[in-house]
Amino acid sequence: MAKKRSLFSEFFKGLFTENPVLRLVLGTCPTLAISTSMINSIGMGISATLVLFFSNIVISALRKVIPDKIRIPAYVVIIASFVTIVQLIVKAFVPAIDEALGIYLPLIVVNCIILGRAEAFAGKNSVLASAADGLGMGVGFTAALFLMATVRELLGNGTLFSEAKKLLSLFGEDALGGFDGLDVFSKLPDTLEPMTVFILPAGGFFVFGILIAFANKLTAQKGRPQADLQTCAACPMAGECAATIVKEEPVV
Amino acid sequence: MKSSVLNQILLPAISLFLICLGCAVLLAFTNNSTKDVILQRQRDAEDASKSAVIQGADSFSEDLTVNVDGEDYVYYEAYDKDKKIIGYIFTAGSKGYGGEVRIVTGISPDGLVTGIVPVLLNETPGLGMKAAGEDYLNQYVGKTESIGVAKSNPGKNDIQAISGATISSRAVTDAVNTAFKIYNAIPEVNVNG
Repeated sequence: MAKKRSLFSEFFKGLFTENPVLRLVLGTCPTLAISTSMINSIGMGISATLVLFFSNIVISALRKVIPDKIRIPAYVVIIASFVTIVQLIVKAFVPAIDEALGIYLPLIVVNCIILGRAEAFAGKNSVLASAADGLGMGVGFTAALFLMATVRELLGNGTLFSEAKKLLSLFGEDALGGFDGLDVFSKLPDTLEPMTVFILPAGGFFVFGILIAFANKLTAQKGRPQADLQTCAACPMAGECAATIVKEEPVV
Repeated sequence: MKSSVLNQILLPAISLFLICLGCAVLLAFTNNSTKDVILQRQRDAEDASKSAVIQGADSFSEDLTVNVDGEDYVYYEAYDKDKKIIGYIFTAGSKGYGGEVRIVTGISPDGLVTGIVPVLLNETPGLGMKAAGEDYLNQYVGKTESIGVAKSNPGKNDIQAISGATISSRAVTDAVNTAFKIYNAIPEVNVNG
């Protein structure tokens, strides 16, 4: 197991060195699908963060009670329950977000960030550390999603925060003076058209790849905390896999 | 032996059961406190799309059904303040580029489109999704039965297709034409016409 870290660093690692999207490359399906609009990405990020936070806490609290054999079904039941709760709440109070996210909202159940953190972290660490980990990973997921959506929406659709009312309606009809997004390209000469490809899946991969490259470059810098990606240690097959045995007992 | 049965089968089963029980209680509680709000939201959204396709409607009928080619379709009558029928509302589907398309269509008693609203449209952003724009949807107002789709120089009863998204334009038009098929099957329409 990894050495003990402070709660702050458990939280902080999800933002950067172990960012779930850009460093662990988890949850890429919702990332590519949802990051076409900044408002949708915030809605998705917050929903996933809530699920991640609460499922990490519950799984960590029950980690000594859940028999090892049934831990995966137990995790799935717990995660699915929180996803359904979040979905019902979103449907009731921000229906526009529910419509925009569509199938991707219930699909948080199978988002590998959440099951991945349950298996790699919450099942082995204290409740407080797991809560910090869940929150950090959630915020990291939201930040990466938001960054991708900013680039894609601006270049592909020519807008920023379009349809902001979907989220702002939570705070009353006229929150922020009825702000409903900026149409950036309408202020530019007519010859400039948004590049539709950035809204399409292909553009999603462009932006995703470039962001991963930046994240790798920055984390590789000297003086930065080293990432503990736990790629093999987290795998249930670690004990039997040849790759792990070689890796974990290097010949000195 | 006994303790191994207990450890191997009974304990996992009981703990999984308890987890499921706890989750079910949580879900029941959330469902109970959100279901009324969700139902109200859905009704509001439905009413909003009904009002959007027929201007000046004061109230709507309950669900009415009509049989077309062996299939039952639901439609609504829209009334003005004096309870006079000022139009009919249909929801019809078709297949677009990105899956199912569902369109709410309002048709006046003299057989003209009063307005359409897409309730389900998952077309390509920037191309087919332009079919959700007002400029495109307003083209349908005033059109009558068997609307055509033209890439250029649309005729009197044709729609100008969105450039690069003929499939999406066709899908919306097909749904509106299906609405006319249902409209023609309504008994009162046949009596009057």
